[in-house]
Amino acid sequence: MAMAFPILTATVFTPVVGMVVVLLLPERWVTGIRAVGVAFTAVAMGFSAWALAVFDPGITGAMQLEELHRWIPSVNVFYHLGIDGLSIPLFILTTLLSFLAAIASFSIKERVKEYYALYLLLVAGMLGVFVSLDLFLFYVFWEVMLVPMYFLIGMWGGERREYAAIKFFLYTLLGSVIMLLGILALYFTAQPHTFDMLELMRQQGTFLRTFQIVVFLAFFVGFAIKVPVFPFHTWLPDAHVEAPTAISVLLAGVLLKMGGYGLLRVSFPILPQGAHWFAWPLAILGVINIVYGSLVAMAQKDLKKLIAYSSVGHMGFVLLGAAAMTPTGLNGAVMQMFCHGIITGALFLLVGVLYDRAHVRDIDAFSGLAVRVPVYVGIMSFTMFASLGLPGLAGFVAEFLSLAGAFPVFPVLVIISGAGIVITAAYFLWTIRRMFLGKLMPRWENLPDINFRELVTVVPLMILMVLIGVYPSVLIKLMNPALTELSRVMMALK
Amino acid sequence: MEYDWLSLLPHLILAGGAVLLVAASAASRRFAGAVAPYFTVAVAAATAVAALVLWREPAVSWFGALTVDPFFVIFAVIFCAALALVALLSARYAPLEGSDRPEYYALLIMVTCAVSFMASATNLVLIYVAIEFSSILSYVLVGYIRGDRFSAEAGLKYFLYGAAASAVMLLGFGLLYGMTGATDLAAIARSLPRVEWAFGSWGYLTFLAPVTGAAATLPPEFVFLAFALILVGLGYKISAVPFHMWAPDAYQGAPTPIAAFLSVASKASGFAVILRLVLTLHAPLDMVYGGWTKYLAALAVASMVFGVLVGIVQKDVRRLLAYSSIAHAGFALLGVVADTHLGFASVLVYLALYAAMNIGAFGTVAVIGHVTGGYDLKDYAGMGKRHPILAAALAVFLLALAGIPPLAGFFAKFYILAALIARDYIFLAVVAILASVVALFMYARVLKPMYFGKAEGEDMRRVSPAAAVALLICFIFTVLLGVWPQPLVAWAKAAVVPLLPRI
Repeated sequence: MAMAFPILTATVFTPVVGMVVVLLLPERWVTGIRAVGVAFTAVAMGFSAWALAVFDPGITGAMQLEELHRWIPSVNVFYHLGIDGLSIPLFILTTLLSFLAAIASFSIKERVKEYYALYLLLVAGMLGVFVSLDLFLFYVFWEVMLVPMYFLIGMWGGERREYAAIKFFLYTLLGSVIMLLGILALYFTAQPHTFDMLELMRQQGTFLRTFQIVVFLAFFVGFAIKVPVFPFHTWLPDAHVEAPTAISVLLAGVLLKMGGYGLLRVSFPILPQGAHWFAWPLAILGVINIVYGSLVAMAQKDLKKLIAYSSVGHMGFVLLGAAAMTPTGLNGAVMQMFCHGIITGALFLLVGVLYDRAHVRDIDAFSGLAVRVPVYVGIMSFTMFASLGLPGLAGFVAEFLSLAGAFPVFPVLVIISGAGIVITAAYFLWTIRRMFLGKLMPRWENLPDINFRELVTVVPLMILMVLIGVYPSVLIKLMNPALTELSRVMMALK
Repeated sequence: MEYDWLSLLPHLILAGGAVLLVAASAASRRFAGAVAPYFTVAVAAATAVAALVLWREPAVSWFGALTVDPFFVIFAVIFCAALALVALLSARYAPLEGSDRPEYYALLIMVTCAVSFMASATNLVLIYVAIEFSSILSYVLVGYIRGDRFSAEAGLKYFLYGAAASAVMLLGFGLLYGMTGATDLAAIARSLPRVEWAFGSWGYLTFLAPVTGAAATLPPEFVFLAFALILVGLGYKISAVPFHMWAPDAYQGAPTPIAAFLSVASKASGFAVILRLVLTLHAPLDMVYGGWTKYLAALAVASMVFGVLVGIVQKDVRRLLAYSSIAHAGFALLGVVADTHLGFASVLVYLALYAAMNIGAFGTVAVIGHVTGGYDLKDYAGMGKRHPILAAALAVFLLALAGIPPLAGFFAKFYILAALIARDYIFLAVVAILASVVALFMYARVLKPMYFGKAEGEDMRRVSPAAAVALLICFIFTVLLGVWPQPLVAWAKAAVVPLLPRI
């Protein structure tokens, strides 16, 4: 029998092939390099669409499109890929944002060849994380991303790029190596020793409660830094502000999701008792993220920093929904990850559009832009409304589900986090008023409006925002069976 | 049969090769100088093949002084690889530094022969002779750049430290001999009886009057003392803190390919002796106060922490790599501390992977130094633009040393950490991990000027093809063994398990 086509491997390694192609092209052939970057991310997106097409959400409690090969048999390491309702939305999100950000990367003018080579490697690392079912492989992909990210921020970033790049690198490396200790602890506790996530989930009943709590903590440090959870968030504003537009998009759109994904994929099902022990701290940290992130966002003068801190706030909903462990809460958490990916991705793209023209990002430097660049202002306001949770757009559904799912478990915390929603609405509306309304400053008399290429990058995201906002089932159908199952398992083990 | 010439074959090829090279240089210096690097590669290849052939036939020969077993074979292959790569890197590396003279290669081959003896010796006398043999040759090689003040100073420093360390070690060997009347490691292991801990253990001094016959009890203090003294000599060999002082100066002053050789092959040979002693004397070593692993652990932690912290402030890339190699010695030592098959195998894997990436790193630094004429961090500004391929290679080697997957260094560290976690040595694992994070910062200090700095000046010379080949080989192994370490792991396990079947 012919072997089934390895769709997941094809998706993950298409960008790697693209990287090799880019490296082989001559440096001065900029157009060709850009085309290759876009083409290979497009092909990866195509493969992921194929995975979506053959994906059957009806199958719960099992992985689909699995690939399993021996890798380092002497230490029981396998090349094991698979996808389920939890990973597929994030997998699709990654290929989509990678493709759009590859187009947005046309604004990179220097060292284009190195840029796209690193960019494609970054994409491959991110994709690998979402489909790895072997913790060793998961860790390898998790770390592979760091290096291109370091160079992408450090070489093409803003003024304080070197500082931001090394801070990002060291922070996340520290988190992930502590996670590595947790991985090894799991490996040696499991009988037989294994890195296989599915096998470890089956064995979780044999892990002592104290052990689960300690290992949960080790994983949590790794995941919390990525999310980022307060007080591990300080690398994020630096990295976001300094990173070039496309990289900010991937950072906010995809990288932050790895923390939440890791919690739901690794920590919860493998260490359920640890997760229950940590439910309250997780929820409280989530609320701190929501309230504190929003408050700090309100105080920002730099538009990009404002959006960076709004991410801190929005990721709080992921934590809160996940900590509740109800089916609705988990759906809300994953939904929030997806929606935050498309909304904040779009916001960063739009900030990039403005910055490319104006070369400043100070909110106070703008006023009355609606007169001069109406299309841009329309789109930006639309996306900000989505981000602040206007009903009918994606952000609302996600936040609503998170809070609704968390309410039965943490009623008080949900009420407190309501403050965060109000503050978020306040600072976005205030920003819209300050930047877009009022009198146009003379220095922006000749500001050109958003162009076709830039529209191409944001319009698909806007369509998704509306689609999910009015018809969330399109996403819930995919993930709900798997997450309900996860919730059932978690509740049963309380 | 005592005179097993076959088991000597790898050593004989090396010794013969060196002699042949010296003889050839007497005939025609110019010819010998021109062929020497490639001849050295051939000798290394032949030795490696001879060693691999012996893999299947573990044998103790020469009155038990020499053991040829898979453990030796792995080290021999590491040494030969280092020899071949360093020879290629030295080829046309710098005629101005005298590396075009045939004696240079003859010395390199001889030092490889010496370290091979260290890996196969199982008799205190032969171990000591082999260590001295390799040390003296190393002093000469470190001070090889005639007329260079730094080189001469480095050679002298290296020599003075080395002489003191080896004298101390010899005292330790003497104690072992005095207690057991044997120089053969296996015999020592049999004679040193297991002693129960008792209050006032000096009462065990009865061993001085051997009335009780073979079962005389020995004071554990003496075992401890012997162990501690030997550790000084071996700690020097692997440049573990606090016996590391020579390393930064020696690596900076030596011809850079020689620094590469010392940091890999010489260090590995020290580990070979440590492992051999620990594996053979495993039972009696338990007599050491509070367990011998504690002392190794202290050395390991000190080396890692000190290595990375001092490495951070270095401005000369060779010194930075010297401190990095001190930190790596500490990391590898943790595998010995784990004291399990997994731990010992992890050391072998570590050393093999470290050989690929560190020769790569030092080799690239040598080539860059040759091309740009500088070793200072500021000489690296804009390397990414001036020499994209060299810069990328160095970046990969440094990231490998930092332990970023899927490069070789990651698996090396991973395997050591696994051995520690398996023994529940969480504290050591955490220290190792924190040191690795700081180490990344140290390596990033080289990456930063290369990629984030502004390019200045033009290249003076081109990269020699031989050096390019050597770097390419290191590169391939650094990537390949990181992605697929399976065969190496299997070999290391096969080499370690027969030596210590009990644990």
